[in-house]
Amino acid sequence: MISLLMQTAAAAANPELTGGAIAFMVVSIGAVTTLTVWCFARVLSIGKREGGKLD
Amino acid sequence: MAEITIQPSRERWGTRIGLILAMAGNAVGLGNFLRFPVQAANNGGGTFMIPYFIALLVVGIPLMWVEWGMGRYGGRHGYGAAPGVFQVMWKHPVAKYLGVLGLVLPLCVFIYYTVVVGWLLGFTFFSITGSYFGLSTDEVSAFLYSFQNIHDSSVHGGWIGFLFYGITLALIVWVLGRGISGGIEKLALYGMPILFGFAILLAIRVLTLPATEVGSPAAGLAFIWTPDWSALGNAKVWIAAAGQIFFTLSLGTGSIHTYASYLKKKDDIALTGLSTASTNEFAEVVLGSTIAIPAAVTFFGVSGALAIASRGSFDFGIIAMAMVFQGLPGPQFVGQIAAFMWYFLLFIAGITSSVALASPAMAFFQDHFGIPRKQVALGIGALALTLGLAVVWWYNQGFLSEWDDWAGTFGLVIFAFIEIWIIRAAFGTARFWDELHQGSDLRIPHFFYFILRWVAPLFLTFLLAWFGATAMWPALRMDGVAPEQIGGRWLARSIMIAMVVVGLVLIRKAFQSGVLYRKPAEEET
Repeated sequence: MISLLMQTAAAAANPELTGGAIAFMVVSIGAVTTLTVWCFARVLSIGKREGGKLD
Repeated sequence: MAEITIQPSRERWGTRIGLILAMAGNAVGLGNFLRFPVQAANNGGGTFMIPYFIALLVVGIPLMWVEWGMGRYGGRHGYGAAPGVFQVMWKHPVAKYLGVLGLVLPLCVFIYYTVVVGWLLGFTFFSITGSYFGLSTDEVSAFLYSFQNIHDSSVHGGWIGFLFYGITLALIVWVLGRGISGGIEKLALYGMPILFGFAILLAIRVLTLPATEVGSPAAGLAFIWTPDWSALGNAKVWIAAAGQIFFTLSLGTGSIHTYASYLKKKDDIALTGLSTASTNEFAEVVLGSTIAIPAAVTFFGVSGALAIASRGSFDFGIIAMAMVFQGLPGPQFVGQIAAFMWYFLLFIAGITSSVALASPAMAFFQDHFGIPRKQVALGIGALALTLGLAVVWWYNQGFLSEWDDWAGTFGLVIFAFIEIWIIRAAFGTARFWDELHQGSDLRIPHFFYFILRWVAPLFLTFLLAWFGATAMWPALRMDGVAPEQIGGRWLARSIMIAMVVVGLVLIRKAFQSGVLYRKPAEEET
Protein backbone atom coordinates (compact mmCIF):
# COMPACT_ATOMS: atom_id res chain seq x y z
CA MET A 1 0.00 0.00 0.00
CA ILE A 2 2.76 2.41 0.92
CA SER A 3 4.56 1.71 -2.36
CA LEU A 4 1.42 2.73 -4.21
CA LEU A 5 1.18 5.90 -2.18
CA MET A 6 4.80 6.70 -2.95
CA GLN A 7 4.16 6.39 -6.67
CA THR A 8 1.36 8.90 -6.45
CA ALA A 9 3.63 11.13 -4.39
CA ALA A 10 5.97 11.61 -7.31
CA ALA A 11 3.24 13.31 -9.26
CA ALA A 12 2.23 15.64 -6.43
CA ALA A 13 3.44 19.21 -6.48
CA ASN A 14 5.73 20.32 -3.69
CA PRO A 15 5.41 23.79 -2.16
CA GLU A 16 8.15 26.34 -2.60
CA LEU A 17 9.86 28.04 0.30
CA THR A 18 8.32 31.50 0.14
CA GLY A 19 9.35 34.65 1.99
CA GLY A 20 6.41 34.22 4.37
CA ALA A 21 7.44 30.66 5.23
CA ILE A 22 11.04 31.72 5.79
CA ALA A 23 9.90 34.60 7.98
CA PHE A 24 7.76 32.35 10.18
CA MET A 25 10.52 29.77 10.39
CA VAL A 26 13.24 32.26 11.30
CA VAL A 27 11.12 34.14 13.83
CA SER A 28 9.86 30.95 15.51
CA ILE A 29 13.23 29.23 15.66
CA GLY A 30 14.90 32.50 16.66
CA ALA A 31 12.43 33.16 19.47
CA VAL A 32 12.76 29.69 20.96
CA THR A 33 16.55 29.68 20.64
CA THR A 34 16.84 33.14 22.22
CA LEU A 35 14.65 32.13 25.16
CA THR A 36 16.63 28.93 25.70
CA VAL A 37 19.99 30.69 25.53
CA TRP A 38 18.77 33.45 27.88
CA CYS A 39 17.48 30.92 30.43
CA PHE A 40 20.63 28.84 30.41
CA ALA A 41 22.90 31.89 30.52
CA ARG A 42 21.04 33.07 33.59
CA VAL A 43 21.00 29.65 35.23
CA LEU A 44 24.71 29.18 34.57
CA SER A 45 25.64 32.65 35.82
CA ILE A 46 23.67 32.09 39.03
CA GLY A 47 25.15 28.60 39.29
CA LYS A 48 28.65 29.99 38.90
CA ARG A 49 27.97 32.42 41.72
CA GLU A 50 26.42 29.82 44.00
CA GLY A 51 28.44 26.77 43.04
CA GLY A 52 25.81 25.11 40.86
CA LYS A 53 24.34 23.01 43.67
CA LEU A 54 20.70 23.16 44.61
CA ASP A 55 20.43 24.44 48.14
CA MET B 1 -4.47 11.93 62.20
CA ALA B 2 -2.00 9.59 63.87
CA GLU B 3 1.40 10.74 64.92
CA ILE B 4 3.86 11.19 62.12
CA THR B 5 6.86 8.91 62.17
CA ILE B 6 9.87 10.28 60.44
CA GLN B 7 12.60 8.12 59.07
CA PRO B 8 15.16 8.98 56.39
CA SER B 9 15.13 12.30 54.56
CA ARG B 10 13.53 12.64 51.16
CA GLU B 11 16.04 12.54 48.36
CA ARG B 12 17.31 15.70 46.64
CA TRP B 13 18.45 16.76 43.22
CA GLY B 14 22.20 17.25 43.03
CA THR B 15 22.49 20.20 40.65
CA ARG B 16 20.16 22.64 38.99
CA ILE B 17 21.38 21.68 35.53
CA GLY B 18 20.67 18.05 36.39
CA LEU B 19 17.15 18.99 37.49
CA ILE B 20 16.52 21.04 34.32
CA LEU B 21 17.74 18.22 32.09
CA ALA B 22 15.71 15.62 34.00
CA MET B 23 12.57 17.76 33.74
CA ALA B 24 13.35 18.43 30.07
CA GLY B 25 13.85 14.69 29.62
CA ASN B 26 10.40 14.21 31.10
CA ALA B 27 8.92 16.67 28.60
CA VAL B 28 10.93 15.88 25.47
CA GLY B 29 9.41 12.78 23.93
CA LEU B 30 8.47 11.26 20.62
CA GLY B 31 5.87 13.98 20.13
CA ASN B 32 8.55 16.66 19.80
CA PHE B 33 10.11 14.99 16.77
CA LEU B 34 7.11 13.29 15.21
CA ARG B 35 3.83 14.87 16.32
CA PHE B 36 4.71 18.55 16.27
CA PRO B 37 5.77 18.92 12.61
CA VAL B 38 2.71 17.02 11.41
CA GLN B 39 0.43 19.15 13.60
CA ALA B 40 2.02 22.32 12.26
CA ALA B 41 1.77 21.20 8.66
CA ASN B 42 -1.89 20.18 9.02
CA ASN B 43 -2.98 23.29 10.91
CA GLY B 44 -1.95 26.30 8.94
CA GLY B 45 1.80 25.81 8.55
CA GLY B 46 3.68 28.89 9.74
CA THR B 47 0.51 30.53 11.03
CA PHE B 48 0.09 27.54 13.40
CA MET B 49 2.92 29.09 15.38
CA ILE B 50 0.76 32.09 16.31
CA PRO B 51 -1.78 30.09 18.36
CA TYR B 52 1.07 27.77 19.38
CA PHE B 53 3.11 30.54 21.00
CA ILE B 54 0.03 32.17 22.50
CA ALA B 55 -0.93 28.82 24.03
CA LEU B 56 2.62 28.41 25.33
CA LEU B 57 2.45 31.81 26.97
CA VAL B 58 -1.05 31.71 28.44
CA VAL B 59 -1.47 28.03 29.15
CA GLY B 60 1.73 26.01 28.90
CA ILE B 61 4.16 28.02 31.00
CA PRO B 62 1.63 29.03 33.70
CA LEU B 63 0.38 25.45 34.09
CA MET B 64 3.93 24.23 34.24
CA TRP B 65 4.63 26.68 37.07
CA VAL B 66 1.48 25.45 38.79
CA GLU B 67 2.74 21.87 38.73
CA TRP B 68 6.23 22.85 39.88
CA GLY B 69 4.76 24.92 42.69
CA MET B 70 2.35 22.19 43.79
CA GLY B 71 5.13 19.62 43.73
CA ARG B 72 7.56 21.70 45.76
CA TYR B 73 4.81 22.57 48.27
CA GLY B 74 3.82 18.91 48.62
CA GLY B 75 7.44 17.86 49.01
CA ARG B 76 7.86 20.29 51.87
CA HIS B 77 5.14 18.39 53.68
CA GLY B 78 6.67 15.04 52.84
CA TYR B 79 4.50 14.15 49.86
CA GLY B 80 5.82 13.41 46.39
CA ALA B 81 2.70 12.11 44.66
CA ALA B 82 -0.63 13.70 43.78
CA PRO B 83 -2.75 12.26 46.64
CA GLY B 84 -0.58 13.91 49.30
CA VAL B 85 -0.01 17.07 47.28
CA PHE B 86 -3.75 17.54 46.76
CA GLN B 87 -4.40 16.77 50.43
CA VAL B 88 -2.12 19.51 51.74
CA MET B 89 -3.40 22.08 49.26
CA TRP B 90 -7.09 21.35 49.70
CA LYS B 91 -8.15 20.34 53.20
CA HIS B 92 -11.04 18.22 52.13
CA PRO B 93 -11.49 14.46 52.59
CA VAL B 94 -12.01 13.92 48.87
CA ALA B 95 -8.85 15.73 47.77
CA LYS B 96 -6.46 12.84 48.33
CA TYR B 97 -8.73 10.45 46.44
CA LEU B 98 -8.76 12.72 43.41
CA GLY B 99 -4.99 12.32 43.46
CA VAL B 100 -5.45 8.71 42.39
CA LEU B 101 -5.40 10.01 38.82
CA GLY B 102 -1.86 11.27 39.39
CA LEU B 103 -0.82 7.75 40.38
CA VAL B 104 -2.67 5.40 38.06
CA LEU B 105 -2.65 7.43 34.84
CA PRO B 106 1.14 7.91 34.68
CA LEU B 107 1.59 4.26 35.65
CA CYS B 108 -0.59 3.12 32.74
CA VAL B 109 1.18 5.48 30.34
CA PHE B 110 4.52 4.29 31.72
CA ILE B 111 3.65 0.68 30.92
CA TYR B 112 2.58 1.12 27.31
CA TYR B 113 5.03 3.92 26.58
CA THR B 114 7.88 1.67 27.69
CA VAL B 115 6.66 -0.94 25.20
CA VAL B 116 7.04 1.69 22.47
CA VAL B 117 10.45 2.71 23.82
CA GLY B 118 11.45 -0.96 23.62
CA TRP B 119 10.56 -0.96 19.93
CA LEU B 120 12.86 2.04 19.46
CA LEU B 121 15.65 0.18 21.21
CA GLY B 122 15.02 -2.67 18.80
CA PHE B 123 15.31 -0.39 15.79
CA THR B 124 18.47 1.14 17.26
CA PHE B 125 19.88 -2.40 17.35
CA PHE B 126 18.60 -3.25 13.85
CA SER B 127 20.23 -0.07 12.54
CA ILE B 128 23.61 -1.19 13.84
CA THR B 129 23.18 -4.64 12.31
CA GLY B 130 21.66 -3.20 9.12
CA SER B 131 18.82 -5.75 9.34
CA TYR B 132 16.25 -3.69 7.42
CA PHE B 133 18.66 -2.16 4.91
CA GLY B 134 17.97 -3.31 1.38
CA LEU B 135 14.27 -3.92 2.11
CA SER B 136 11.48 -2.23 0.17
CA THR B 137 8.94 0.00 1.93
CA ASP B 138 6.41 -2.82 2.15
CA GLU B 139 9.07 -5.14 3.51
CA VAL B 140 10.10 -2.56 6.15
CA SER B 141 6.42 -2.29 7.11
CA ALA B 142 6.23 -6.06 7.46
CA PHE B 143 9.49 -5.97 9.43
CA LEU B 144 8.03 -3.42 11.87
CA TYR B 145 4.63 -5.06 12.22
CA SER B 146 6.12 -8.49 12.85
CA PHE B 147 8.36 -6.88 15.47
CA GLN B 148 5.39 -5.21 17.16
CA ASN B 149 3.09 -8.21 16.99
CA ILE B 150 3.96 -11.03 19.35
CA HIS B 151 1.70 -13.36 17.36
CA ASP B 152 3.42 -12.66 14.04
CA SER B 153 6.60 -14.64 13.46
CA SER B 154 6.74 -13.98 9.73
CA VAL B 155 9.91 -11.87 9.99
CA HIS B 156 11.03 -12.03 13.62
CA GLY B 157 10.49 -14.56 16.35
CA GLY B 158 7.27 -13.50 18.08
CA TRP B 159 9.02 -12.69 21.35
CA ILE B 160 11.77 -10.46 19.94
CA GLY B 161 9.77 -7.26 20.45
CA PHE B 162 8.95 -8.27 24.00
CA LEU B 163 12.62 -9.05 24.62
CA PHE B 164 13.57 -5.46 23.81
CA TYR B 165 10.76 -4.31 26.09
CA GLY B 166 12.25 -6.42 28.87
CA ILE B 167 15.71 -4.93 28.33
CA THR B 168 14.30 -1.39 28.34
CA LEU B 169 12.27 -2.09 31.46
CA ALA B 170 15.30 -3.56 33.24
CA LEU B 171 17.25 -0.41 32.44
CA ILE B 172 14.44 1.79 33.78
CA VAL B 173 14.16 -0.28 36.97
CA TRP B 174 17.91 0.04 37.45
CA VAL B 175 17.75 3.84 37.02
CA LEU B 176 14.75 4.15 39.36
CA GLY B 177 16.46 1.96 41.92
CA ARG B 178 19.47 4.25 42.00
CA GLY B 179 17.30 7.15 43.12
CA ILE B 180 16.88 10.78 42.18
CA SER B 181 20.40 12.18 41.98
CA GLY B 182 22.17 8.84 41.48
CA GLY B 183 19.83 7.48 38.82
CA ILE B 184 17.37 9.87 37.18
CA GLU B 185 19.67 12.90 37.27
CA LYS B 186 22.62 10.89 35.94
CA LEU B 187 20.49 9.51 33.11
CA ALA B 188 19.52 13.05 32.15
CA LEU B 189 23.04 14.43 32.47
CA TYR B 190 24.38 11.80 30.06
CA GLY B 191 21.32 11.19 27.91
CA MET B 192 20.08 14.68 27.11
CA PRO B 193 23.36 16.02 25.66
CA ILE B 194 23.54 12.89 23.48
CA LEU B 195 19.94 13.45 22.37
CA PHE B 196 20.58 17.08 21.43
CA GLY B 197 23.95 16.31 19.84
CA PHE B 198 22.49 13.57 17.64
CA ALA B 199 19.47 15.71 16.75
CA ILE B 200 21.63 18.67 15.72
CA LEU B 201 23.89 16.43 13.58
CA LEU B 202 20.87 14.82 11.92
CA ALA B 203 19.23 18.21 11.29
CA ILE B 204 22.40 19.43 9.58
CA ARG B 205 22.58 16.25 7.47
CA VAL B 206 18.92 16.45 6.47
CA LEU B 207 19.04 20.13 5.54
CA THR B 208 22.09 19.55 3.35
CA LEU B 209 20.58 16.64 1.44
CA PRO B 210 20.47 17.05 -2.32
CA ALA B 211 17.04 17.36 -3.91
CA THR B 212 15.51 14.21 -5.42
CA GLU B 213 12.98 13.82 -8.24
CA VAL B 214 10.10 13.98 -5.80
CA GLY B 215 11.20 16.54 -3.25
CA SER B 216 13.84 18.45 -1.35
CA PRO B 217 14.57 19.58 2.23
CA ALA B 218 13.43 23.09 1.23
CA ALA B 219 10.09 21.65 0.11
CA GLY B 220 9.83 19.92 3.49
CA LEU B 221 10.44 23.18 5.31
CA ALA B 222 7.95 24.92 3.03
CA PHE B 223 5.44 22.18 3.82
CA ILE B 224 5.73 22.88 7.54
CA TRP B 225 6.12 26.65 7.50
CA THR B 226 4.09 28.07 4.57
CA PRO B 227 1.49 30.28 6.27
CA ASP B 228 -2.21 29.77 5.72
CA TRP B 229 -3.87 32.82 7.21
CA SER B 230 -7.36 31.37 6.91
CA ALA B 231 -6.38 28.78 9.54
CA LEU B 232 -6.37 31.48 12.22
CA GLY B 233 -10.14 31.74 11.97
CA ASN B 234 -10.55 28.02 12.59
CA ALA B 235 -11.22 27.06 16.23
CA LYS B 236 -9.83 23.57 15.65
CA VAL B 237 -6.43 25.03 14.83
CA TRP B 238 -6.36 26.87 18.16
CA ILE B 239 -7.42 23.73 20.01
CA ALA B 240 -4.76 21.73 18.16
CA ALA B 241 -2.11 24.28 19.15
CA ALA B 242 -3.22 24.30 22.79
CA GLY B 243 -3.35 20.51 22.81
CA GLN B 244 0.15 20.26 21.38
CA ILE B 245 1.50 22.64 24.03
CA PHE B 246 -0.31 20.74 26.76
CA PHE B 247 1.03 17.35 25.73
CA THR B 248 4.54 18.42 24.78
CA LEU B 249 5.20 19.90 28.23
CA SER B 250 4.02 16.64 29.87
CA LEU B 251 1.38 18.53 31.81
CA GLY B 252 -1.25 16.57 33.71
CA THR B 253 0.84 13.45 34.19
CA GLY B 254 1.75 14.02 37.83
CA SER B 255 5.42 13.49 37.08
CA ILE B 256 6.35 17.19 37.31
CA HIS B 257 4.87 17.25 40.84
CA THR B 258 7.01 14.33 41.88
CA TYR B 259 10.24 15.72 40.43
CA ALA B 260 9.56 19.13 41.99
CA SER B 261 8.80 17.51 45.36
CA TYR B 262 12.52 16.84 45.72
CA LEU B 263 13.19 20.58 45.95
CA LYS B 264 13.44 22.69 49.07
CA LYS B 265 11.34 25.72 49.90
CA LYS B 266 14.02 28.18 48.80
CA ASP B 267 14.97 26.37 45.60
CA ASP B 268 13.97 28.45 42.58
CA ILE B 269 11.20 27.08 40.41
CA ALA B 270 10.34 30.12 38.27
CA LEU B 271 13.55 30.31 36.23
CA THR B 272 14.26 26.59 36.44
CA GLY B 273 10.77 25.76 35.20
CA LEU B 274 11.02 28.26 32.38
CA SER B 275 14.39 26.79 31.39
CA THR B 276 12.81 23.35 31.22
CA ALA B 277 9.99 24.61 29.01
CA SER B 278 12.37 26.45 26.71
CA THR B 279 14.59 23.36 26.38
CA ASN B 280 11.56 21.36 25.38
CA GLU B 281 10.52 24.04 22.90
CA PHE B 282 14.00 24.10 21.39
CA ALA B 283 13.80 20.34 20.85
CA GLU B 284 10.33 20.69 19.34
CA VAL B 285 10.38 23.83 17.21
CA VAL B 286 14.01 23.89 16.13
CA LEU B 287 14.92 20.20 15.91
CA GLY B 288 11.46 18.71 15.48
CA SER B 289 10.79 20.78 12.40
CA THR B 290 14.12 20.14 10.70
CA ILE B 291 14.54 16.36 10.73
CA ALA B 292 11.65 14.01 10.03
CA ILE B 293 9.42 16.05 7.71
CA PRO B 294 12.15 17.61 5.54
CA ALA B 295 13.80 14.18 5.24
CA ALA B 296 10.56 12.41 4.39
CA VAL B 297 9.49 15.07 1.88
CA THR B 298 12.89 14.84 0.19
CA PHE B 299 12.42 11.13 -0.46
CA PHE B 300 8.64 10.77 -0.74
CA GLY B 301 7.33 14.20 -1.74
CA VAL B 302 4.67 15.99 0.27
CA SER B 303 1.75 13.68 -0.46
CA GLY B 304 3.85 10.57 0.11
CA ALA B 305 5.04 11.88 3.46
CA LEU B 306 1.48 12.84 4.40
CA ALA B 307 0.16 9.44 3.40
CA ILE B 308 2.61 7.72 5.73
CA ALA B 309 1.99 10.28 8.48
CA SER B 310 -1.74 9.59 8.23
CA ARG B 311 -1.07 6.08 9.52
CA GLY B 312 0.29 7.54 12.74
CA SER B 313 3.38 9.29 14.00
CA PHE B 314 5.04 6.06 14.95
CA ASP B 315 4.79 4.51 11.50
CA PHE B 316 6.03 7.79 10.13
CA GLY B 317 9.03 7.88 12.45
CA ILE B 318 9.95 4.25 11.87
CA ILE B 319 8.97 3.26 8.35
CA ALA B 320 9.46 6.54 6.52
CA MET B 321 12.72 7.27 8.28
CA ALA B 322 14.00 3.73 7.73
CA MET B 323 13.56 4.29 3.99
CA VAL B 324 15.15 7.74 4.24
CA PHE B 325 18.29 6.33 5.86
CA GLN B 326 18.58 3.68 3.19
CA GLY B 327 18.48 6.41 0.57
CA LEU B 328 21.18 8.65 2.06
CA PRO B 329 24.06 9.36 -0.31
CA GLY B 330 27.24 7.41 0.39
CA PRO B 331 28.01 3.87 1.54
CA GLN B 332 25.51 1.90 3.60
CA PHE B 333 27.31 2.42 6.90
CA VAL B 334 26.62 6.19 6.63
CA GLY B 335 22.91 5.44 6.54
CA GLN B 336 23.29 2.94 9.38
CA ILE B 337 25.03 5.52 11.56
CA ALA B 338 22.38 8.14 10.82
CA ALA B 339 19.64 5.59 11.53
CA PHE B 340 21.31 4.59 14.78
CA MET B 341 21.44 8.26 15.82
CA TRP B 342 17.77 8.78 14.96
CA TYR B 343 16.36 5.76 16.77
CA PHE B 344 18.72 6.17 19.70
CA LEU B 345 17.76 9.81 20.21
CA LEU B 346 14.10 8.76 20.15
CA PHE B 347 14.96 5.98 22.59
CA ILE B 348 16.57 8.51 24.96
CA ALA B 349 13.61 10.86 24.57
CA GLY B 350 11.35 7.95 25.43
CA ILE B 351 13.26 6.42 28.30
CA THR B 352 13.72 9.73 30.15
CA SER B 353 9.96 10.24 29.89
CA SER B 354 9.27 6.67 31.01
CA VAL B 355 11.39 7.10 34.11
CA ALA B 356 9.48 10.28 34.96
CA LEU B 357 6.13 8.54 34.48
CA ALA B 358 7.06 5.83 36.97
CA SER B 359 8.19 8.37 39.55
CA PRO B 360 4.81 9.26 41.14
CA ALA B 361 4.19 5.62 42.06
CA MET B 362 7.79 5.34 43.29
CA ALA B 363 7.32 8.35 45.57
CA PHE B 364 3.92 7.19 46.82
CA PHE B 365 5.16 3.82 48.04
CA GLN B 366 8.31 5.28 49.53
CA ASP B 367 6.56 8.16 51.28
CA HIS B 368 3.53 6.36 52.64
CA PHE B 369 4.59 2.76 53.11
CA GLY B 370 8.30 3.15 53.82
CA ILE B 371 9.29 0.61 51.18
CA PRO B 372 12.94 1.05 50.10
CA ARG B 373 13.27 2.52 46.63
CA LYS B 374 14.97 -0.55 45.12
CA GLN B 375 12.10 -2.74 46.24
CA VAL B 376 9.55 -0.27 44.89
CA ALA B 377 11.43 -0.11 41.59
CA LEU B 378 11.44 -3.91 41.35
CA GLY B 379 7.74 -4.05 42.23
CA ILE B 380 6.83 -1.48 39.58
CA GLY B 381 9.04 -3.36 37.14
CA ALA B 382 7.24 -6.62 37.87
CA LEU B 383 3.84 -4.97 37.45
CA ALA B 384 4.97 -3.34 34.21
CA LEU B 385 6.34 -6.61 32.89
CA THR B 386 3.04 -8.36 33.56
CA LEU B 387 0.81 -5.63 32.17
CA GLY B 388 3.28 -4.87 29.39
CA LEU B 389 2.76 -8.44 28.25
CA ALA B 390 -0.96 -7.71 28.11
CA VAL B 391 -0.26 -4.58 26.04
CA VAL B 392 1.82 -6.60 23.61
CA TRP B 393 -0.46 -9.65 23.59
CA TRP B 394 -3.61 -7.67 22.80
CA TYR B 395 -1.86 -4.96 20.78
CA ASN B 396 -3.88 -5.67 17.66
CA GLN B 397 -7.07 -5.73 19.74
CA GLY B 398 -6.61 -2.07 20.66
CA PHE B 399 -5.30 -2.53 24.21
CA LEU B 400 -2.56 0.07 23.82
CA SER B 401 -4.85 2.50 21.98
CA GLU B 402 -7.47 2.28 24.73
CA TRP B 403 -4.94 3.13 27.42
CA ASP B 404 -3.48 5.87 25.27
CA ASP B 405 -6.93 7.42 24.81
CA TRP B 406 -7.88 7.39 28.49
CA ALA B 407 -4.64 7.51 30.44
CA GLY B 408 -2.45 9.29 27.89
CA THR B 409 -4.91 11.87 26.55
CA PHE B 410 -8.25 12.46 28.29
CA GLY B 411 -6.96 11.63 31.77
CA LEU B 412 -4.26 14.28 31.56
CA VAL B 413 -6.77 17.00 30.79
CA ILE B 414 -9.02 15.82 33.65
CA PHE B 415 -6.07 15.82 36.05
CA ALA B 416 -4.95 19.31 34.97
CA PHE B 417 -8.54 20.55 35.33
CA ILE B 418 -8.63 19.28 38.92
CA GLU B 419 -5.29 20.74 39.91
CA ILE B 420 -5.93 24.20 38.46
CA TRP B 421 -9.24 24.40 40.30
CA ILE B 422 -7.60 23.27 43.54
CA ILE B 423 -5.26 26.25 43.16
CA ARG B 424 -8.01 28.62 42.08
CA ALA B 425 -10.78 27.66 44.49
CA ALA B 426 -9.14 25.95 47.47
CA PHE B 427 -5.53 27.01 47.93
CA GLY B 428 -6.00 30.52 46.56
CA THR B 429 -4.29 32.13 43.59
CA ALA B 430 -2.74 34.94 45.68
CA ARG B 431 -1.29 32.48 48.16
CA PHE B 432 0.02 30.33 45.35
CA TRP B 433 1.57 33.38 43.68
CA ASP B 434 3.57 34.00 46.87
CA GLU B 435 4.49 30.34 47.03
CA LEU B 436 5.72 30.45 43.44
CA HIS B 437 8.10 33.28 44.27
CA GLN B 438 9.74 31.59 47.26
CA GLY B 439 13.46 31.56 46.48
CA SER B 440 12.75 32.72 42.95
CA ASP B 441 15.56 33.82 40.64
CA LEU B 442 13.01 35.39 38.33
CA ARG B 443 10.27 37.89 39.07
CA ILE B 444 7.32 36.56 37.11
CA PRO B 445 5.43 39.39 35.36
CA HIS B 446 2.13 40.15 37.09
CA PHE B 447 0.35 39.44 33.84
CA PHE B 448 0.71 35.75 34.73
CA TYR B 449 -1.23 36.25 37.95
CA PHE B 450 -4.25 37.16 35.86
CA ILE B 451 -3.56 34.12 33.67
CA LEU B 452 -3.41 31.81 36.67
CA ARG B 453 -6.51 33.29 38.25
CA TRP B 454 -8.76 33.47 35.23
CA VAL B 455 -7.41 32.25 31.92
CA ALA B 456 -5.92 28.88 32.87
CA PRO B 457 -8.97 27.65 34.89
CA LEU B 458 -11.40 28.78 32.21
CA PHE B 459 -9.26 27.41 29.41
CA LEU B 460 -8.97 23.98 31.03
CA THR B 461 -12.70 23.93 31.71
CA PHE B 462 -13.31 24.71 28.06
CA LEU B 463 -10.72 22.16 26.90
CA LEU B 464 -12.29 19.47 29.06
CA ALA B 465 -15.78 20.30 27.78
CA TRP B 466 -14.52 20.30 24.20
CA PHE B 467 -12.70 17.01 24.65
CA GLY B 468 -15.69 15.57 26.47
CA ALA B 469 -18.07 16.37 23.66
CA THR B 470 -15.86 15.66 20.67
CA ALA B 471 -13.60 12.85 21.82
CA MET B 472 -14.34 11.36 25.26
CA TRP B 473 -18.00 10.55 24.73
CA PRO B 474 -17.43 8.86 21.35
CA ALA B 475 -14.44 7.01 22.84
CA LEU B 476 -16.53 5.89 25.81
CA ARG B 477 -19.12 4.49 23.43
CA MET B 478 -16.33 3.02 21.29
CA ASP B 479 -17.71 4.72 18.21
CA GLY B 480 -15.82 3.69 15.11
CA VAL B 481 -13.92 0.91 16.88
CA ALA B 482 -13.47 -2.20 14.76
CA PRO B 483 -15.62 -5.10 16.11
CA GLU B 484 -12.57 -7.30 16.62
CA GLN B 485 -11.11 -4.67 18.97
CA ILE B 486 -14.11 -4.29 21.28
CA GLY B 487 -13.10 -7.17 23.57
CA GLY B 488 -9.46 -6.07 23.86
CA ARG B 489 -10.47 -2.50 24.59
CA TRP B 490 -12.92 -3.58 27.28
CA LEU B 491 -10.18 -5.68 28.83
CA ALA B 492 -7.82 -2.67 28.82
CA ARG B 493 -10.54 -0.49 30.29
CA SER B 494 -11.35 -3.04 33.01
CA ILE B 495 -7.71 -3.34 34.05
CA MET B 496 -7.40 0.43 34.25
CA ILE B 497 -10.56 0.68 36.39
CA ALA B 498 -9.21 -2.09 38.63
CA MET B 499 -5.97 -0.13 39.01
CA VAL B 500 -7.93 2.97 40.01
CA VAL B 501 -9.85 0.95 42.64
CA VAL B 502 -6.63 -0.52 44.04
CA GLY B 503 -5.14 2.98 44.04
CA LEU B 504 -8.09 4.33 46.05
CA VAL B 505 -7.76 1.52 48.60
CA LEU B 506 -4.02 2.19 48.93
CA ILE B 507 -4.62 5.91 49.40
CA ARG B 508 -7.16 5.19 52.13
CA LYS B 509 -4.73 2.86 53.84
CA ALA B 510 -1.86 5.35 53.51
CA PHE B 511 -3.76 8.24 55.04
CA GLN B 512 -5.47 6.16 57.72
CA SER B 513 -2.10 5.38 59.24
CA GLY B 514 -0.97 9.00 58.87
CA VAL B 515 2.60 7.78 58.81
CA LEU B 516 5.19 9.49 56.68
CA TYR B 517 8.33 7.56 56.14
CA ARG B 518 10.53 10.22 54.63
CA LYS B 519 11.55 13.42 56.34
CA PRO B 520 10.01 16.56 54.74
CA ALA B 521 12.42 19.21 53.53
CA GLU B 522 11.65 21.69 56.32
CA GLU B 523 12.70 19.19 58.92
CA GLU B 524 16.15 18.71 57.50
CA THR B 525 19.16 19.87 59.35
